[in-house]
Amino acid sequence: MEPIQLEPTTTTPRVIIDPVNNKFEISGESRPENTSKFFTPIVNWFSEYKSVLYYQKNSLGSSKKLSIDFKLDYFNSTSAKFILDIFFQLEKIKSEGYEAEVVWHYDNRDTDMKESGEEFSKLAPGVPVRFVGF
Amino acid sequence: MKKIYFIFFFFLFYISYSQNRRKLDSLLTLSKNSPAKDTEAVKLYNTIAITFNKTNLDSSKFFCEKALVLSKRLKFKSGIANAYNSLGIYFRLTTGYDSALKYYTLASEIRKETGDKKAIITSQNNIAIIYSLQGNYNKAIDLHEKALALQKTIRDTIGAAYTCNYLANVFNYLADYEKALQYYEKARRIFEKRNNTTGLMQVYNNIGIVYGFIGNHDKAIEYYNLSLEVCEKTGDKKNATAALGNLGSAYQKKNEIELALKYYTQSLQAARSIGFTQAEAANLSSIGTVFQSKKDFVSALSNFKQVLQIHEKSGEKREIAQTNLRIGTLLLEQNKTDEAKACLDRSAAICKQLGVKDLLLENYSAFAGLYKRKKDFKKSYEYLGLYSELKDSVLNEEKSKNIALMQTRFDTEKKENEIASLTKDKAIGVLRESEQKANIRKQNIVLGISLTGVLLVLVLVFIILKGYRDKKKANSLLEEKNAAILAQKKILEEKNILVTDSIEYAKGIQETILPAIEEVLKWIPGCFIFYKPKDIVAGDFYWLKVGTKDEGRGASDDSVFLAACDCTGHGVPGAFMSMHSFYLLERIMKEKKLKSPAQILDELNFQMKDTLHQDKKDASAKYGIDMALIKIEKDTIEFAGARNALLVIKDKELTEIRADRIYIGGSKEKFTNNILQPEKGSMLYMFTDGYADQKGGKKSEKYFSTNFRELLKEISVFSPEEQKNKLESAFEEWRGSIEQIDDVLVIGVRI
Repeated sequence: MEPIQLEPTTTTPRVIIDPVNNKFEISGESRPENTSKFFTPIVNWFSEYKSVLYYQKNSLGSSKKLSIDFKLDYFNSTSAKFILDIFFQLEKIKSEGYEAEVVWHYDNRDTDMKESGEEFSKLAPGVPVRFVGF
Repeated sequence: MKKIYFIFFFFLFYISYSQNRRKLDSLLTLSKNSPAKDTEAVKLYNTIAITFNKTNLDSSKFFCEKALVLSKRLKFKSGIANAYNSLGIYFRLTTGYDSALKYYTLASEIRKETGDKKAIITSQNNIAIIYSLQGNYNKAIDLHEKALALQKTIRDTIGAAYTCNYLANVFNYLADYEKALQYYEKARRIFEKRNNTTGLMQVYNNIGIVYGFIGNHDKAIEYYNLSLEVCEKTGDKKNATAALGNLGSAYQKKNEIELALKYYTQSLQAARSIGFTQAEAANLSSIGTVFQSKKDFVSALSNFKQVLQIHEKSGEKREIAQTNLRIGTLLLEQNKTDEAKACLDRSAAICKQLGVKDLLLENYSAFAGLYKRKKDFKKSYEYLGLYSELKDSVLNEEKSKNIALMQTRFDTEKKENEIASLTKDKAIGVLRESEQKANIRKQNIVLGISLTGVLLVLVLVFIILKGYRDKKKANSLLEEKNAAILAQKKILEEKNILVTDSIEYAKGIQETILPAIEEVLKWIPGCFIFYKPKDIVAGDFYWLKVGTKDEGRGASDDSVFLAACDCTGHGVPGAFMSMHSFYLLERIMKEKKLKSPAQILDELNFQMKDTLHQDKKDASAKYGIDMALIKIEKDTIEFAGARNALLVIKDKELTEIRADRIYIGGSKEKFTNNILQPEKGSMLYMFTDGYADQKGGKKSEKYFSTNFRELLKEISVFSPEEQKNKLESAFEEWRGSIEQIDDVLVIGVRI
């Protein structure tokens, strides 16, 4: 699986998907012009990552824990749907017996951001979400 | 793991090579003896091109082009297609994948015209292989599957088995080993049924490789043994070399070193008996690593040295560099720093010459270790620096590729210049000789001096002229590019105007759904609406509906509905959604005559799913609308909210009527209808998220909901008109020079 490394722009977040160092992060601002075009490869990546976890589990004995950090300060409503899709992917991964979690970072002053995280968590109850205020 | 592939691929290469030599000779004789320029000649050229593919790529290309020219002249379609196909193969083997794709596609198009199904299938598989090499795996799978389907219709079972094998290879790249195995098994069943030994040898071997990947070395061994069995039955020593080598590698992974050694040795012997030098070298190298892991440095060294000899004989430079690196590292482990340095130097020299960065990287790392052992920390540090520098450049591969390209251009130019000046030197020598013959010394000296002068002037003129020409060339190139850019800019500007014009026009259409503020004030006197779209058209909108008595049921005369709506997206996509939502709301009010805000939202939710087909499986609601909706009837306010709340502020005291966290167009839940009777003089606020989410301030951060609420509390005592102005100026002050992020809508109502 190829890693995905996207530098942040004014409308798109930083994306780090680095299976080698087991680091997954989406941070910054998300309001892409074409949200579907931006997020679909990312959502698909997590969908395909299951085969790698399968390989890790079956040949290396255990799969690495998949922990993704969301550290967003703004996302628009279309992005929200895709973020939810990523939650769903992790839920699926969890349901197939691999370790997975979401770490939801939010600015302590930003009650909306915390609530959004809680809402995602409610819609995708199968994946544990850790809330970290900063 | 790489090693396994390595032996396997080399091996196939070899078989074709020995068979080809004889075939090629007879073909070439044939082509010399038949000077005819007919379709038969095209066929012959194409066959020669394909045969040369395996031995001499340049010759292959030469015959491709010959076939192409002749077949085009004869308008011989299948000949043209075959020539294109062979050119595709040529570019694939020389890793020019874009060109390969181009030629394969040309071939495929002609073959579709002529309707030769087998040829079409070949093209599909060839194109798919390129996609797979380019990392475009989904397209590759798609095409292979198409080929497979076509093969079924013409009952080409053996061909289908080979396609399954290709498909499995793609899944192997994708690390989807389950699927890879499924397809290999399919291929295996067919090959077994038809007793196709060539296919069986390959597929058994490949299945073994997959099991090796997923760490099941016992299974891998089982399959390599099956492959070996077939080889022995058919007396195929070459394929046996691969199976034995892979067996050795599997046992090495299992840490059964003695068995690994046994199989490597058998593979080595088999390779030697048929003169298969590449496999011989690979096995010697594997055995060397086994000895190295056993700390038997003497045996390891002797093996690597044999490997080196083989590669030096065949002149494979990369391999020579790699083996020298191995030997150097080995010597380093034994603390023989001087000998190690000699090997590493050799390896580094070749790497630099060939530009093989991955090896050079290992090389620098080894050098750093070497100097550390010698306690020369300064040099060690220098090599670490070189290492990290090179690593950066490897990471920036795109960039370095361009630099390499420029370097080559520069070098060739330099060489040309050198040749030119050499020719001149020669000319001077000849002149001088003839002068000497005339024996006029004085003249000779004068002539010599003047000649040198003339020459100097000539060289100077040459340099200046060349510089001037180059500059002129560069300038005219620049001008051309400039002109092209300007033309493009003009087109873009024109297009931009067209697009902006049409959006401006669309704005007019969108405005028809927004009630005029006078109309709103007529029904709700103490009201303000702060509406600020991000672009020309918007995803936010506000909606007003006045109840009418004469339609019987439904809203009564005195009731007024007012909503603040936020559709997903902004700009054009947002505007589409807002038009759609507006239409649905109007339709619901007309047809259903619903009484409460919650009922309206429920119905909107239902119709949104219905009209956007979001109830279908898999469509996880990508389009929707958030809104706050109130109904004002005398002193009573009814409110329902889809993710957007209603705020009530009285004497700077804030009460929030929370919204349901339901996605309209997504969820199945029902909305809550809130009924309240706020005190006289209270302010009601409905809004979208654009205001609180706007970035600004010193640190360019969001305004945040908490600040927005504080602001509303502050301004709530002013008149609606003043409140609107205060909201606007606070927004602009916060935003400063930062662009507006989303549409902004705030509605306030004084009770």
